[in-house]
Amino acid sequence: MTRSAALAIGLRENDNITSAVLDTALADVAQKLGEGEASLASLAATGGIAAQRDRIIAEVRSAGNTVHRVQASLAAGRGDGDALDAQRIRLGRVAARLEKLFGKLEGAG
Amino acid sequence: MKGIFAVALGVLTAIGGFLDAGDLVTNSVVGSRFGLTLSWVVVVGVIGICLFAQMSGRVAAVSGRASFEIIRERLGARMALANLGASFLINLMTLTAEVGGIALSMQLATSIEPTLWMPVAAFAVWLVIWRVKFSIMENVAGFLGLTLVIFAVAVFLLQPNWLDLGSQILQQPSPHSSESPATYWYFAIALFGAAMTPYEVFFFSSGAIEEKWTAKDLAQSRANVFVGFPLGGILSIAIAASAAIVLLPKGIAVDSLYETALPVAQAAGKLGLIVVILGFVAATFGAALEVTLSSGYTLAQFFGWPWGKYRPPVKAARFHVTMIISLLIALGVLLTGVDPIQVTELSVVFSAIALPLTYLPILIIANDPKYMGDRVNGRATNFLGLVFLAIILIGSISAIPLMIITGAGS
Repeated sequence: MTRSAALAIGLRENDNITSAVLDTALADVAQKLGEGEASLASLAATGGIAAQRDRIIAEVRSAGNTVHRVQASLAAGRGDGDALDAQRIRLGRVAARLEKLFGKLEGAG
Repeated sequence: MKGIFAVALGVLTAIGGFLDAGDLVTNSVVGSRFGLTLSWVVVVGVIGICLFAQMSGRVAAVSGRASFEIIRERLGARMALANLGASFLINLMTLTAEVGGIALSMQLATSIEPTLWMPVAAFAVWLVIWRVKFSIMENVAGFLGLTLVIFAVAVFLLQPNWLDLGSQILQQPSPHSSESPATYWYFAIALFGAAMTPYEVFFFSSGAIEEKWTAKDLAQSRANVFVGFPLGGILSIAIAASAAIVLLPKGIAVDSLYETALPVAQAAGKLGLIVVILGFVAATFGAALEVTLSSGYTLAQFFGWPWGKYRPPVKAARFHVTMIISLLIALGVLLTGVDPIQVTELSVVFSAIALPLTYLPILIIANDPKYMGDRVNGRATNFLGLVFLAIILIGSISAIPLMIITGAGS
């Protein structure tokens, strides 16, 4: 879902997406990241798996914060240029790290 | 000239009306996760829906009665009740998905919360059914649904490597190592269920009565089915292809309606996005009208109540009350906070489970000379019908185990 948000932000930079669709995309991603974080936090785990889980939670929270920053920028009318591009790149990186962490967790499980 | 216009209109509305929330979501999910490897299922599903839709349309045009009326008379109350129970429950799930789909589409147009759109959508569906003539309702929704052709346009604008894209069709079962074979087959059944949704057949059959079709109209009915539905199927594949080109390489697995529209935004910009959102609204709204009517048709035809939009509501009160209650149930389910996309995904799988109960009775009736005279099925139609019943049965039996094994495809 972080990749969807990154794609939507990229489309915004090229003026290829309406603000209603971008708002919807960001709200959806923010909601799902919040749900994902809550669901992960409720999982009982010990040892190495607990550490992996905590790293995933931290990344999910980081992605959520990035999405909130984008929403705030857009709401304040600062939705253009390099700032948005930086958030898009950040989301892409978080998505890659999350994929790696989930892969490791599956391997450990 | 008038005849050609009528056929063209019928074909165009059949194309535009072919896609509903189930088709939009399932094709996009499949395209983003499996590329075009499951396109063969759409082809099989379209052949199946063509076969049974023309059969039920022929039953209605020749006998002058809708399928469900005859099912009860010919197969008895018990068999008809099994058919009714399965069809009505699937209709309710599909209606929930469609009303949710309208709300999600309106959110894309306005960024207003879908929960606020849900009651508006349900009310608008009821109002149109109550006030608007059957032919206008069907044609307008079908015509606006044609805007989904933008998906096919987007595929060309994205300038894919055609060889790579085409080769995905031949890569079986799935070239994507992250998806298990069980997940592949689960989505194969979902796609099949989306293409052969039971309400389409009941709507087609009852619509023939609404429009007072006779045996003379069979040619037009065949043109609608055999030209309109396959072109609708091509649109389904275009949705999957656009997701396969844009979303699959980025590792985006679709689980929201806006993601279905992103490839069009990338290909055609804001204008394309506006067109596709209009298409989403038209497709889900048109399908919601059809499913609501199908709910009324099936129950009224089973109990022998007066039915049809050609009758004033006061003369078909129970038919209209059934539709209102169906809409209220769908709205009630949505307002509990369930995800409309998940409802949509489940509804197409449950459709697949219930398919044998829908299609076996139609095959039996279409072979009964008492109702059909000399217009009973030919040998080729019966052969194909039996082949499809076998496919439907295998899909129906496998659906629940696959749903459990794959965690509903997650």
